[in-house]
Amino acid sequence: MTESRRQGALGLALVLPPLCLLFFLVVVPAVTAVVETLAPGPGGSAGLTVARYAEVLSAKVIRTDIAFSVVVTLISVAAVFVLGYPLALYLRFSPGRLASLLAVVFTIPLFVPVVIASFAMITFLVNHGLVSTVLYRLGIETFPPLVYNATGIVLTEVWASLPFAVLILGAGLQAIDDSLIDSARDVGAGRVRTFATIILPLNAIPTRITLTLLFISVFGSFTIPYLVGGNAPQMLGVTMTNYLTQYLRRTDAVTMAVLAFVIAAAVGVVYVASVSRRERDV
Amino acid sequence: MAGLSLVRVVKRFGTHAAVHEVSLEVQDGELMGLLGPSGCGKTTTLRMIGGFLAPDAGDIRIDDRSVVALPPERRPTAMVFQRFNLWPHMSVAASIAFGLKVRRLSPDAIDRKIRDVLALVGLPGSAGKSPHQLSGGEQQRVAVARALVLEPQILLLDEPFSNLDARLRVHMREEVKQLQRKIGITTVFVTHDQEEALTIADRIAVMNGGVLQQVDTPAALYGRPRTLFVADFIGTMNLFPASALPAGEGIAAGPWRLSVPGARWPEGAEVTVAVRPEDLIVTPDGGAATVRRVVNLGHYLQVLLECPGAGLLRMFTEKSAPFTEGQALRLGIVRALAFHDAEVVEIGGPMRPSLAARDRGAGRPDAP
Repeated sequence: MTESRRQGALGLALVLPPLCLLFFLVVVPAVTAVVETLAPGPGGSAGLTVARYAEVLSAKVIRTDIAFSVVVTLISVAAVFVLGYPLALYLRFSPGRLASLLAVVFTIPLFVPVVIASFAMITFLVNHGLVSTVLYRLGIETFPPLVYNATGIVLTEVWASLPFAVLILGAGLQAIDDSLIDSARDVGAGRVRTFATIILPLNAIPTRITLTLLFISVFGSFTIPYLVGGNAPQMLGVTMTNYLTQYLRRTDAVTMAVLAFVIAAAVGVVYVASVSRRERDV
Repeated sequence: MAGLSLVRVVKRFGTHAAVHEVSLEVQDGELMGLLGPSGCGKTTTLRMIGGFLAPDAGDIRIDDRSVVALPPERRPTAMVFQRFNLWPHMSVAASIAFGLKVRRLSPDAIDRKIRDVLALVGLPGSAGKSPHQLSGGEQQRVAVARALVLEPQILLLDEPFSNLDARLRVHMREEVKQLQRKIGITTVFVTHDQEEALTIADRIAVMNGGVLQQVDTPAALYGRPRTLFVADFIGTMNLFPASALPAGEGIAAGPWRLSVPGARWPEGAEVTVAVRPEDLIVTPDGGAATVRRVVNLGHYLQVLLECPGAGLLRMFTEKSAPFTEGQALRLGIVRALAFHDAEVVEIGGPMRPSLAARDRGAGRPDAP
């Protein structure tokens, strides 16, 4: 009894430092922020009010930025998924040297700091950059600008997030035993059917985890939209920073942060549900 | 139903030949065991029959039609794997229905077939269960059902019971044998367990190092192994070295001199003699040996004997036989095989040891 109690105490002692960190650096500031946004302004009555949210959301520019953030994020996530899944499949099912070479090459963006990647994309995509030059040479002379707008953000986000997506999706695919796939082929399913009815459902949890984590990381990104994006509309990370440091409207910035948190948390629910289901299955 | 033939099939992985020029004929309705140690190429051979691997050379024919160019989904074969057979996200019924839906059968026909095949494998009423609700044995039965429901021409089994506990394994292999007899399906069964192969296969193909060693009935494999590998691999065998005597005088093996009918081996050639433990007998004119250990194996005794020149030999005798450790006795060979290079000669009949032969002044070997 005392032995198990001592074990319990030791376990608690080990998790206490990260728990304290979590509490004082995440929970406390978050709660303070939420309380701050719900507190009535100077001269207002007592109690809580959603007046600040109404005020922030009444500004068209902020509404546009929120919508812009969601749309850019969804497009980026979709693009990463569409490009990443075939790559993960290829790395999982194709033996040979090309696949092992690709497995190394595709992870390169993981080791390039986002700032450098962003500037690289700018020089690559600007008016007189490589892409424009190639398009001109090919006879395409009119095309929309590729940088300082949503296109630039999406392209850079895809570049930066692809390795992460392929790693998680690939780990999921790796966990599917060959005989599960072979038996589908054996009873008559072709490649497409095997993918749709066996591989996709068996990889559903890693897929959901990939999608939610991608969404949250792109939605909350700052460096890429700040460097590669245009002036307006902007993604929420940049807007919040502007309100905080340029316009010195701290409470508005915090209110937007809470809104952003609510959106991310809604997506986070999917992640938590997926992970806990996986743990139950195991 | 159909016959299966492999014609000089080769599979290389890099420079290593996993399967080397294997030719095999499986008759219609036959249960063929593919037996060998791990890495011998038996599973590779099975996967080539199923279409999961393409041979580098040779042909695979089912019903005298080449299937080499066909992917697994278009071959008339069905496979049961070692494990992870059932899709965890599908119920038993959905798993069995999968192949039928691919073939666009009507829902009524699918339901009927699922019911029939589950009854056939002895699992009626488990259609709605999911794989994790089934025991290991039940999962493998569902896998067999899923394979059989498509009425394949050839059933392929890749060590399907190796993950089950010993008792269940024995039970399942008997069931598979009965099922196979009942529906008369041509079956190829991979195993590394010789007891499994010997008990259920009509014929066994023994493989080693990618090479087919011998294809024969269980009795013939045990009684007349054609290579040293098969002699050593199947059952228990005493092997000891011998050397050829001048032409016509047979071979000298430990204390014995054995006549080798028909063999023309140069004097001094290295020969390996193989004797089954039950072919050793105690006889007054035998070679000298000492009992080292007596092991009671229930219905018989295994006696370990030290025999000068032949090393440690195993003898099986009935359990009432009186042996004590340290006892000296004289040992005779009822039947043996002599291997020299690729040649094997059967030595039968009573054998007289060389010592005894010299005592009697008769230098010639015994007639078989």
